[in-house]
This record gives sequence, C-alpha cells and structure tokens, in this order.
Amino acid sequence: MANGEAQSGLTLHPLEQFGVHPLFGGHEVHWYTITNQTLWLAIGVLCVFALFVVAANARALVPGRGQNAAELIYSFIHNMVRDVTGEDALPYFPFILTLFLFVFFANTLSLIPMSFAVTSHVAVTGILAITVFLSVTLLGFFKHGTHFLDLFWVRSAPFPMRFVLAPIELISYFVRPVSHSIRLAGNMMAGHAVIEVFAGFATILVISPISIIAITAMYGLEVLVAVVQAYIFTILTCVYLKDAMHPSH
Amino acid sequence: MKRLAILAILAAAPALAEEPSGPFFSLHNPPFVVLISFLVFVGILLYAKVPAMVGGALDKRADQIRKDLEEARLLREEAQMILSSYERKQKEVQAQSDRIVASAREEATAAAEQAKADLAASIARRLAAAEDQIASAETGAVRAVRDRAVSVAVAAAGDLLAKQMTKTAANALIDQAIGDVSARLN
Repeated sequence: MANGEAQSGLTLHPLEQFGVHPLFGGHEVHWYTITNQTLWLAIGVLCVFALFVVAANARALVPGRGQNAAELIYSFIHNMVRDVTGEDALPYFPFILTLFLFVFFANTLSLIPMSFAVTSHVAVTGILAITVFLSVTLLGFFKHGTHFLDLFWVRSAPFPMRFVLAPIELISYFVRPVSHSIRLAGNMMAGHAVIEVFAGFATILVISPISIIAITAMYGLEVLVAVVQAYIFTILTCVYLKDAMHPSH
Repeated sequence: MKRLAILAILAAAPALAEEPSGPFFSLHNPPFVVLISFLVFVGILLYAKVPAMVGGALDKRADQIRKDLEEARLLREEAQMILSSYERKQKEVQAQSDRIVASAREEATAAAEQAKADLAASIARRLAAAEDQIASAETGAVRAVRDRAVSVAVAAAGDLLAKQMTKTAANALIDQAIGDVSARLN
C-alpha cells in the first residue's frame, strides 16, 4: 500500500482506515471471520452492557455516577419518543433506545485512535436503516391495514394535486432508508477521512504542529458530530415511527 | 470500565496497526499523528476539567434526587402526622357522637316512658269520665223511667177519676176548689 512512498513524500490514504481486516491472520473475509469490525462492534456492545447492566445494576434509589448517566440517557430517549412519536409509541421505546445506544457508542468509540469506525460503513448503518424502514412499514400495515397508504394520499391537498403528490410521497418514503443510513455513515466517514488527511500532512515537518492542532480541533468537532448524528439517527427513527402510528396527514 | 478499555486499546495499538510501513513513532505514520492529537485533545479536556464537570453534574443530579427523596419523605411524614391527627380527631368526634347518641337514646326512652305513663293516666281519666257519664246516663234513664211511670200513673189515675167523676161531683169539686182558692186568697 503505502510502502516506501510514505517515507519519500506526501501520500494520503484517508480511506485506508476503513478497511476490514481479519484479526487473526489470513486475508479473506468470510461471514464467520473475526475482523477489526467484529472487535469494535463487540466493544460497543460491551460498553452498552457496562453502562446499562453493570453500572446500573445496583438500581439504587439515589443513583451513583454510572447509574446516573444511564438514567439520563434513558430518560432523554424516553422523552424524545414521547414528544416526537407520542404516548402510544412507548412500547417501541426499547428498540429506539437500543438503536441510540448502539449508534452512540459506535460513534464515540470510533474517535479512539486506530479504532475502527463501525458506523462509517453503509453496510452497518444500512442494515440499521433497513431494519427501521421494514419494521416501521410492517407496523404501519399491521396497525392500519390499507389505511397506512393514506400516508401517500395527501387528503389535505386539492384533489388533482394528490395524483402529483402521491408519487413524490412514495419516492420520498422509499428514499428514507438511503438518506437515513448515508447521513450517519457519511458524517462519520467524512470526519475520520479529514482527520486522516490532516495526519497525512504531518509528514511535512513544518506543517506537523498545525496538522496536530487541526486534528485536535477536529476531535472537538467530531465528538459533537458523533453525539449529534446518534441523536439525529434516533429522532428520525421516531419521526418515521410516528408516520406508521398516525399515517393520515 | 471504559477507561480500562481505552487503556487496553492504546497498549495494544502498535500490535493492531497492521502492516506497518515504517516505525510506529514517526510523523510519517498518520495513526501516530492522530494518536498525538487525541492525547492533546484528552489533555485539553482534562485541563479544562471536563470530566470533573461531567462528574459534578452527575453528582448534582444524584444530590437533587436525594434532596427530592428527603423532601418527599418529609412531606410523607407531615401527611402522616396530619392523617393521625385527623384520625384522633375523628375518634374524638366518634366518642362524642356516641355520647350524644347514647344520651339521645336515654332521653328518648325517658320521654317514651313519660309518654306511656301520661297515656295510661289519660286513659284512666277518660275511663273514669266515661264511667261517670255512664253512671249519670243511667241515673238520667232511671229518672226518666220513673218520671214516665209517674206520668203514666197520673194519667191512669186521671183517666180513672174522669171515668168515675159525674157532673155533680165535678161541679162540687170545682166549687170546692173555688172555695179553697177564695179561702186561701182571703
């Protein structure tokens, strides 16, 4: 890859960090191969477990710090589901909290140097988005039957307009999982790529302090992006769920 | 837990960096540069006391919860006190009402007794009055019978006398009567 070149001049490989490699030797990736992605997925899950099972296990009336943080996140998402989707969507709150925690920890863990940014892969966010899309659609049909199609038939618009709006609504509905997943993956990937590009500039000795300062600043931004993107992913899920719960405009 | 994980990752980092193209600790190695920046960033966070602030915020929340619990406990105690005072008051009122009911019952019984006695007395009085009336009616009846017997007897005697009386005898009687009257008047 960068052998030899790295020593001589400015060579940037900002996307190299997103490569999936087997952890225990070999070069082929099978479905059962344990890769760096598997490792960081597992670490993310372990973090969720640590915060919500280990730290919150005491279930103290007056919470300790760990339980406190868990409670804060829990009530934050709980309020979000109630405010955005409504009281009747609270049965789906566990799914949404799980989604948020996974994305949140995957995002923040990817900020650790030499870690693997799980959520920068559309393969991961796409699966999440398709899960949301499918479950929300199925739920809409299950709850409302064919009335769910009212979502595409804008009754508040004048009658002839509805024929124009219906295909637009339909297309925008099916674009949802695409935008939902690419928004998250794109944001994560872009941030990491920028950091890596800045790091590549550090090869030039004069620029290296500026490069390091720039990456430090990027870190501040990326922490924000990681949290905000997890928030956006979750709140969009709530919005989509709301359409399934109340399909009429 | 998380800190431990981070430490473990950092320790294992050189080993994880696959196919190193040169020495790890070099500015030509982007992961190393990122690591430096990361440490600088963490250093800034530590210098700005961000972890302490976050911990403080969490502790403040715990304190708030503790305070709320304490307040709730106080309120509960207060409510319990009020409840017990009201229960006491209720008990007092209950006793009072029991007393009132008892006295009222007593009074009612006494009044009933009194009324019964009055009734008996009045019945006796009326009985006596009725007996008196009966007695007087009886005497009246007896008298009436006697009067009627007398009048019948007088009438019978009159009839008898009239039948036996002749004109002369009558005249003699009239004359005698006139003589009687004149003799009496003079």
